[in-house]
Amino acid sequence: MKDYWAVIVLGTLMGTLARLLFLRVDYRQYPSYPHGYMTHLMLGFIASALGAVAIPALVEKDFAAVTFLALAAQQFRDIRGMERDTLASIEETELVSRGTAYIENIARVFEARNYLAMATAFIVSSILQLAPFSFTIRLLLAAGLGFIFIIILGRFMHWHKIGDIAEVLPSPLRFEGPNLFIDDIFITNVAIPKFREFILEYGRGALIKPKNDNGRAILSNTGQRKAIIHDCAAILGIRKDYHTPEFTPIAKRDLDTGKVGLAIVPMEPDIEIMIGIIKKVAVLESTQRMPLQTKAGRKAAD
Amino acid sequence: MSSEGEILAAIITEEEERWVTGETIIFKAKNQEEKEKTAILVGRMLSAMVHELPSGVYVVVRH
Repeated sequence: MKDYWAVIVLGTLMGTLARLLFLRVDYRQYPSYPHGYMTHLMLGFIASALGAVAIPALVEKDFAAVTFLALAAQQFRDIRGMERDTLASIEETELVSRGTAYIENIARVFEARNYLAMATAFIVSSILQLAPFSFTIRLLLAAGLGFIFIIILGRFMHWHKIGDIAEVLPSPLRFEGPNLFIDDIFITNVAIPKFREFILEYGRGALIKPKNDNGRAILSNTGQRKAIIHDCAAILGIRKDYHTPEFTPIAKRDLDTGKVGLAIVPMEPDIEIMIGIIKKVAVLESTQRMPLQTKAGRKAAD
Repeated sequence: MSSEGEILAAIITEEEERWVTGETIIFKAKNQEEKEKTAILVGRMLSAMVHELPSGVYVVVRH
Protein backbone atom coordinates (compact mmCIF):
# COMPACT_ATOMS: atom_id res chain seq x y z
CA MET A 1 0.00 0.00 0.00
CA LYS A 2 2.99 2.24 0.65
CA ASP A 3 3.47 2.70 -3.10
CA TYR A 4 0.18 4.49 -3.35
CA TRP A 5 0.88 7.23 -0.82
CA ALA A 6 2.29 9.62 -3.40
CA VAL A 7 -0.67 8.96 -5.70
CA ILE A 8 -3.24 9.58 -3.00
CA VAL A 9 -1.48 12.60 -1.49
CA LEU A 10 -0.84 14.38 -4.80
CA GLY A 11 -4.36 13.62 -6.06
CA THR A 12 -5.92 14.91 -2.87
CA LEU A 13 -3.72 17.99 -2.87
CA MET A 14 -4.52 18.91 -6.46
CA GLY A 15 -8.24 18.29 -5.93
CA THR A 16 -8.28 20.47 -2.83
CA LEU A 17 -6.35 23.13 -4.72
CA ALA A 18 -8.99 23.03 -7.46
CA ARG A 19 -11.72 23.51 -4.86
CA LEU A 20 -9.77 26.37 -3.26
CA LEU A 21 -9.31 28.15 -6.58
CA PHE A 22 -13.00 27.90 -7.34
CA LEU A 23 -13.94 29.03 -3.85
CA ARG A 24 -13.55 32.69 -4.52
CA VAL A 25 -15.03 35.27 -2.25
CA ASP A 26 -16.41 37.20 -5.15
CA TYR A 27 -18.71 40.11 -5.77
CA ARG A 28 -21.77 38.05 -4.95
CA GLN A 29 -20.42 38.20 -1.40
CA TYR A 30 -20.97 34.55 -0.85
CA PRO A 31 -19.47 32.58 0.82
CA SER A 32 -17.82 35.47 2.62
CA TYR A 33 -18.23 33.78 5.96
CA PRO A 34 -15.11 32.11 7.33
CA HIS A 35 -17.10 29.14 8.56
CA GLY A 36 -18.79 28.56 5.24
CA TYR A 37 -15.37 28.82 3.64
CA MET A 38 -13.99 26.17 5.98
CA THR A 39 -16.94 23.84 5.41
CA HIS A 40 -16.54 23.93 1.66
CA LEU A 41 -12.78 23.56 1.78
CA MET A 42 -13.10 20.47 3.97
CA LEU A 43 -15.83 18.98 1.81
CA GLY A 44 -13.62 19.65 -1.19
CA PHE A 45 -10.77 17.86 0.59
CA ILE A 46 -12.98 14.83 1.26
CA ALA A 47 -14.15 14.82 -2.37
CA SER A 48 -10.54 14.94 -3.57
CA ALA A 49 -9.49 12.13 -1.24
CA LEU A 50 -12.30 9.98 -2.62
CA GLY A 51 -11.28 10.77 -6.18
CA ALA A 52 -7.63 10.06 -5.42
CA VAL A 53 -8.14 6.62 -3.85
CA ALA A 54 -10.22 5.31 -6.74
CA ILE A 55 -7.23 4.36 -8.93
CA PRO A 56 -5.20 2.62 -6.20
CA ALA A 57 -8.36 0.74 -5.24
CA LEU A 58 -8.82 -0.40 -8.84
CA VAL A 59 -5.17 -1.42 -9.13
CA GLU A 60 -5.52 -3.50 -5.98
CA LYS A 61 -8.67 -5.02 -7.53
CA ASP A 62 -10.66 -3.74 -4.57
CA PHE A 63 -13.76 -3.02 -6.58
CA ALA A 64 -15.94 -2.53 -3.51
CA ALA A 65 -13.93 0.60 -2.69
CA VAL A 66 -14.96 2.19 -5.97
CA THR A 67 -18.60 1.99 -4.98
CA PHE A 68 -17.74 4.57 -2.37
CA LEU A 69 -17.73 7.08 -5.22
CA ALA A 70 -21.46 6.56 -5.53
CA LEU A 71 -21.78 7.25 -1.84
CA ALA A 72 -19.80 10.43 -2.36
CA ALA A 73 -22.17 11.59 -5.08
CA GLN A 74 -24.99 11.20 -2.57
CA GLN A 75 -23.07 13.31 -0.08
CA PHE A 76 -22.52 16.08 -2.58
CA ARG A 77 -26.15 16.21 -3.43
CA ASP A 78 -26.64 17.00 0.25
CA ILE A 79 -24.32 19.96 -0.19
CA ARG A 80 -26.77 21.43 -2.65
CA GLY A 81 -29.53 20.93 -0.08
CA MET A 82 -27.39 22.48 2.64
CA GLU A 83 -26.65 25.60 0.62
CA ARG A 84 -30.25 25.93 -0.44
CA ASP A 85 -31.47 25.67 3.16
CA THR A 86 -28.94 28.18 4.46
CA LEU A 87 -29.69 30.78 1.81
CA ALA A 88 -33.44 30.23 1.96
CA SER A 89 -33.47 30.64 5.73
CA ILE A 90 -31.62 33.96 5.67
CA GLU A 91 -33.74 35.18 2.77
CA GLU A 92 -36.30 36.67 5.14
CA THR A 93 -33.70 38.94 6.72
CA GLU A 94 -32.51 40.37 3.40
CA LEU A 95 -33.86 43.78 2.42
CA VAL A 96 -33.53 42.70 -1.19
CA SER A 97 -34.09 38.98 -1.51
CA ARG A 98 -32.06 36.73 -3.82
CA GLY A 99 -35.06 34.80 -5.02
CA THR A 100 -35.36 31.03 -5.35
CA ALA A 101 -33.85 30.83 -8.85
CA TYR A 102 -30.65 32.56 -7.72
CA ILE A 103 -30.42 30.41 -4.59
CA GLU A 104 -30.88 27.25 -6.64
CA ASN A 105 -28.15 28.40 -9.00
CA ILE A 106 -25.68 29.06 -6.18
CA ALA A 107 -26.49 25.71 -4.57
CA ARG A 108 -25.97 23.87 -7.85
CA VAL A 109 -22.62 25.55 -8.42
CA PHE A 110 -21.45 24.46 -4.97
CA GLU A 111 -22.40 20.87 -5.72
CA ALA A 112 -20.74 20.90 -9.13
CA ARG A 113 -17.50 22.29 -7.76
CA ASN A 114 -17.14 19.30 -5.46
CA TYR A 115 -17.36 17.00 -8.47
CA LEU A 116 -14.73 19.19 -10.04
CA ALA A 117 -12.41 18.64 -7.09
CA MET A 118 -13.07 14.90 -7.28
CA ALA A 119 -12.46 14.74 -11.02
CA THR A 120 -9.19 16.68 -10.70
CA ALA A 121 -7.99 14.32 -7.98
CA PHE A 122 -8.99 11.30 -10.07
CA ILE A 123 -7.15 12.50 -13.16
CA VAL A 124 -4.00 13.50 -11.28
CA SER A 125 -3.83 10.18 -9.43
CA SER A 126 -4.49 8.24 -12.67
CA ILE A 127 -1.58 9.93 -14.42
CA LEU A 128 0.75 9.45 -11.49
CA GLN A 129 -0.22 5.79 -11.16
CA LEU A 130 -0.51 4.70 -14.78
CA ALA A 131 1.83 6.79 -16.96
CA PRO A 132 4.78 4.68 -18.18
CA PHE A 133 7.61 6.98 -17.08
CA SER A 134 9.97 7.32 -14.15
CA PHE A 135 8.50 8.57 -10.86
CA THR A 136 9.84 12.13 -11.11
CA ILE A 137 8.51 12.62 -14.63
CA ARG A 138 5.15 11.15 -13.68
CA LEU A 139 5.00 13.47 -10.68
CA LEU A 140 5.71 16.56 -12.78
CA LEU A 141 3.38 15.40 -15.54
CA ALA A 142 0.54 14.70 -13.11
CA ALA A 143 0.90 18.07 -11.38
CA GLY A 144 1.23 19.96 -14.67
CA LEU A 145 -1.70 18.27 -16.36
CA GLY A 146 -3.69 18.72 -13.16
CA PHE A 147 -3.17 22.47 -13.39
CA ILE A 148 -4.13 22.48 -17.07
CA PHE A 149 -7.23 20.45 -16.26
CA ILE A 150 -8.24 22.99 -13.59
CA ILE A 151 -7.78 25.86 -16.04
CA ILE A 152 -9.78 24.10 -18.78
CA LEU A 153 -12.55 23.28 -16.33
CA GLY A 154 -12.55 26.89 -15.17
CA ARG A 155 -13.12 27.99 -18.77
CA PHE A 156 -15.72 25.32 -19.34
CA MET A 157 -17.68 26.22 -16.20
CA HIS A 158 -17.72 29.86 -17.19
CA TRP A 159 -21.25 31.13 -17.45
CA HIS A 160 -22.92 33.71 -19.63
CA LYS A 161 -23.47 37.17 -18.30
CA ILE A 162 -26.31 39.63 -18.82
CA GLY A 163 -23.89 41.73 -20.90
CA ASP A 164 -23.64 38.81 -23.38
CA ILE A 165 -27.37 38.51 -23.96
CA ALA A 166 -28.51 42.12 -23.65
CA GLU A 167 -27.54 45.73 -24.07
CA VAL A 168 -27.56 47.68 -20.82
CA LEU A 169 -28.10 51.44 -20.97
CA PRO A 170 -28.66 54.15 -18.39
CA SER A 171 -32.17 55.56 -18.54
CA PRO A 172 -33.63 58.40 -16.48
CA LEU A 173 -36.53 57.87 -14.09
CA ARG A 174 -39.59 59.97 -14.85
CA PHE A 175 -42.91 60.54 -13.13
CA GLU A 176 -46.21 61.05 -14.90
CA GLY A 177 -48.41 62.09 -12.01
CA PRO A 178 -47.88 59.40 -9.41
CA ASN A 179 -46.71 56.84 -11.97
CA LEU A 180 -43.02 56.07 -12.30
CA PHE A 181 -41.69 55.20 -15.75
CA ILE A 182 -38.40 54.15 -17.29
CA ASP A 183 -38.47 54.80 -21.01
CA ASP A 184 -42.09 53.81 -21.66
CA ILE A 185 -42.18 50.98 -19.12
CA PHE A 186 -44.49 51.45 -16.16
CA ILE A 187 -42.59 50.68 -12.97
CA THR A 188 -44.82 51.59 -10.04
CA ASN A 189 -47.19 54.13 -8.53
CA VAL A 190 -45.96 56.36 -5.72
CA ALA A 191 -48.61 58.53 -4.05
CA ILE A 192 -46.55 60.67 -1.67
CA PRO A 193 -44.89 63.65 -3.43
CA LYS A 194 -42.04 63.69 -0.90
CA PHE A 195 -41.12 60.12 -1.85
CA ARG A 196 -41.32 60.95 -5.56
CA GLU A 197 -38.81 63.76 -5.10
CA PHE A 198 -36.56 61.42 -3.17
CA ILE A 199 -36.74 58.80 -5.92
CA LEU A 200 -35.99 61.40 -8.61
CA GLU A 201 -33.01 62.71 -6.66
CA TYR A 202 -31.36 59.45 -5.57
CA GLY A 203 -32.96 56.85 -7.81
CA ARG A 204 -31.23 55.44 -10.86
CA GLY A 205 -32.68 53.64 -13.83
CA ALA A 206 -31.31 51.18 -16.36
CA LEU A 207 -32.75 49.76 -19.51
CA ILE A 208 -31.87 46.17 -20.37
CA LYS A 209 -32.52 45.45 -24.04
CA PRO A 210 -32.29 41.79 -25.08
CA LYS A 211 -30.07 41.21 -28.13
CA ASN A 212 -32.27 38.44 -29.53
CA ASP A 213 -35.15 36.10 -28.72
CA ASN A 214 -32.99 33.97 -26.41
CA GLY A 215 -32.13 37.03 -24.37
CA ARG A 216 -35.76 38.06 -24.32
CA ALA A 217 -36.77 34.69 -22.90
CA ILE A 218 -34.07 34.85 -20.23
CA LEU A 219 -35.06 38.35 -19.12
CA SER A 220 -38.72 37.35 -18.90
CA ASN A 221 -37.86 35.12 -15.96
CA THR A 222 -38.63 36.90 -12.69
CA GLY A 223 -35.91 34.91 -10.91
CA GLN A 224 -33.32 36.28 -13.32
CA ARG A 225 -34.55 39.81 -12.74
CA LYS A 226 -34.41 39.28 -8.97
CA ALA A 227 -30.80 38.15 -9.34
CA ILE A 228 -29.96 41.37 -11.21
CA ILE A 229 -31.67 43.47 -8.55
CA HIS A 230 -29.97 41.57 -5.75
CA ASP A 231 -26.50 42.03 -7.19
CA CYS A 232 -27.05 45.77 -7.74
CA ALA A 233 -28.38 46.23 -4.21
CA ALA A 234 -25.65 44.09 -2.66
CA ILE A 235 -22.86 46.09 -4.26
CA LEU A 236 -24.23 49.63 -4.43
CA GLY A 237 -26.18 49.47 -1.19
CA ILE A 238 -29.77 50.50 -0.98
CA ARG A 239 -31.69 53.46 0.48
CA LYS A 240 -34.52 51.43 1.90
CA ASP A 241 -35.66 49.92 5.14
CA TYR A 242 -38.35 47.34 5.76
CA HIS A 243 -40.98 50.00 6.41
CA THR A 244 -40.34 51.98 3.21
CA PRO A 245 -41.53 49.74 0.39
CA GLU A 246 -41.63 52.81 -1.89
CA PHE A 247 -37.89 52.42 -2.38
CA THR A 248 -37.96 48.74 -3.24
CA PRO A 249 -35.98 48.14 -6.42
CA ILE A 250 -38.16 46.91 -9.25
CA ALA A 251 -37.48 45.45 -12.70
CA LYS A 252 -40.43 45.43 -15.05
CA ARG A 253 -40.81 44.29 -18.59
CA ASP A 254 -42.08 45.93 -21.73
CA LEU A 255 -44.62 43.56 -23.22
CA ASP A 256 -43.97 44.62 -26.82
CA THR A 257 -40.21 44.26 -27.01
CA GLY A 258 -39.25 42.29 -23.90
CA LYS A 259 -36.86 45.01 -22.72
CA VAL A 260 -36.62 45.44 -18.97
CA GLY A 261 -36.58 48.68 -16.99
CA LEU A 262 -34.80 48.55 -13.64
CA ALA A 263 -35.39 51.21 -10.99
CA ILE A 264 -33.36 51.27 -7.80
CA VAL A 265 -32.49 53.82 -5.11
CA PRO A 266 -28.87 52.94 -4.37
CA MET A 267 -26.63 54.28 -1.61
CA GLU A 268 -23.97 54.96 -4.24
CA PRO A 269 -25.86 56.54 -7.12
CA ASP A 270 -23.12 55.97 -9.68
CA ILE A 271 -24.88 54.96 -12.86
CA GLU A 272 -21.78 53.86 -14.79
CA ILE A 273 -20.81 51.41 -12.06
CA MET A 274 -24.39 50.18 -11.87
CA ILE A 275 -24.45 49.45 -15.60
CA GLY A 276 -21.18 47.53 -15.20
CA ILE A 277 -22.66 45.48 -12.37
CA ILE A 278 -25.77 44.58 -14.36
CA LYS A 279 -23.65 43.48 -17.33
CA LYS A 280 -21.71 41.11 -15.08
CA VAL A 281 -24.72 39.44 -13.46
CA ALA A 282 -24.71 35.72 -14.23
CA VAL A 283 -27.37 34.28 -16.49
CA LEU A 284 -28.87 31.69 -14.16
CA GLU A 285 -28.71 28.13 -15.45
CA SER A 286 -32.34 27.48 -14.67
CA THR A 287 -33.48 30.53 -16.63
CA GLN A 288 -31.53 29.70 -19.81
CA ARG A 289 -33.93 29.41 -22.69
CA MET A 290 -32.92 28.88 -26.28
CA PRO A 291 -35.99 29.41 -28.45
CA LEU A 292 -33.69 30.26 -31.36
CA GLN A 293 -32.29 26.70 -31.28
CA THR A 294 -35.62 25.43 -32.52
CA LYS A 295 -36.94 25.74 -36.04
CA ALA A 296 -40.23 27.16 -34.80
CA GLY A 297 -38.42 29.71 -32.65
CA ARG A 298 -36.29 30.90 -35.58
CA LYS A 299 -39.33 31.15 -37.81
CA ALA A 300 -41.27 33.05 -35.16
CA ALA A 301 -38.37 35.48 -34.72
CA ASP A 302 -38.55 36.95 -38.21
CA MET B 1 -41.74 41.40 -7.61
CA SER B 2 -45.00 39.61 -7.07
CA SER B 3 -47.92 41.67 -8.21
CA GLU B 4 -50.30 40.32 -5.62
CA GLY B 5 -51.39 42.92 -3.13
CA GLU B 6 -53.78 43.46 -0.30
CA ILE B 7 -55.55 46.76 0.28
CA LEU B 8 -55.19 47.60 3.95
CA ALA B 9 -56.69 51.09 4.14
CA ALA B 10 -57.67 54.17 2.19
CA ILE B 11 -56.90 57.79 3.02
CA ILE B 12 -59.14 60.51 1.65
CA THR B 13 -60.11 64.13 1.97
CA GLU B 14 -63.73 65.18 2.27
CA GLU B 15 -64.16 65.79 -1.47
CA GLU B 16 -63.04 62.29 -2.31
CA GLU B 17 -65.60 60.59 -0.11
CA ARG B 18 -67.84 59.67 -3.02
CA TRP B 19 -65.09 57.59 -4.62
CA VAL B 20 -64.74 55.19 -1.73
CA THR B 21 -67.02 52.38 -0.72
CA GLY B 22 -66.77 48.91 0.77
CA GLU B 23 -65.24 47.53 3.92
CA THR B 24 -61.75 48.97 3.74
CA ILE B 25 -60.62 51.04 6.70
CA ILE B 26 -60.89 54.71 5.71
CA PHE B 27 -58.96 57.56 7.26
CA LYS B 28 -60.45 60.98 6.57
CA ALA B 29 -58.15 63.98 6.45
CA LYS B 30 -58.96 67.70 6.70
CA ASN B 31 -56.90 68.65 3.71
CA GLN B 32 -54.30 67.43 1.22
CA GLU B 33 -51.43 68.12 3.60
CA GLU B 34 -52.96 66.08 6.38
CA LYS B 35 -53.81 63.35 3.91
CA GLU B 36 -50.18 63.04 2.91
CA LYS B 37 -48.95 63.03 6.50
CA THR B 38 -51.52 60.41 7.47
CA ALA B 39 -50.62 58.32 4.45
CA ILE B 40 -46.90 58.38 5.29
CA LEU B 41 -47.61 57.40 8.88
CA VAL B 42 -50.07 54.62 8.05
CA GLY B 43 -47.75 53.32 5.33
CA ARG B 44 -44.80 53.22 7.70
CA MET B 45 -46.84 51.62 10.47
CA LEU B 46 -47.98 48.82 8.22
CA SER B 47 -44.73 48.63 6.19
CA ALA B 48 -46.95 49.04 3.18
CA MET B 49 -46.93 51.11 0.03
CA VAL B 50 -49.17 54.10 -0.61
CA HIS B 51 -50.61 54.30 -4.12
CA GLU B 52 -52.64 57.10 -5.66
CA LEU B 53 -55.73 56.39 -7.74
CA PRO B 54 -56.76 58.73 -10.57
CA SER B 55 -59.54 60.05 -8.32
CA GLY B 56 -56.92 61.23 -5.85
CA VAL B 57 -57.75 58.56 -3.27
CA TYR B 58 -54.70 57.11 -1.51
CA VAL B 59 -54.75 53.38 -0.93
CA VAL B 60 -52.34 51.58 1.37
CA VAL B 61 -51.34 48.29 -0.19
CA ARG B 62 -49.15 45.48 1.04
CA HIS B 63 -47.33 43.80 -1.83
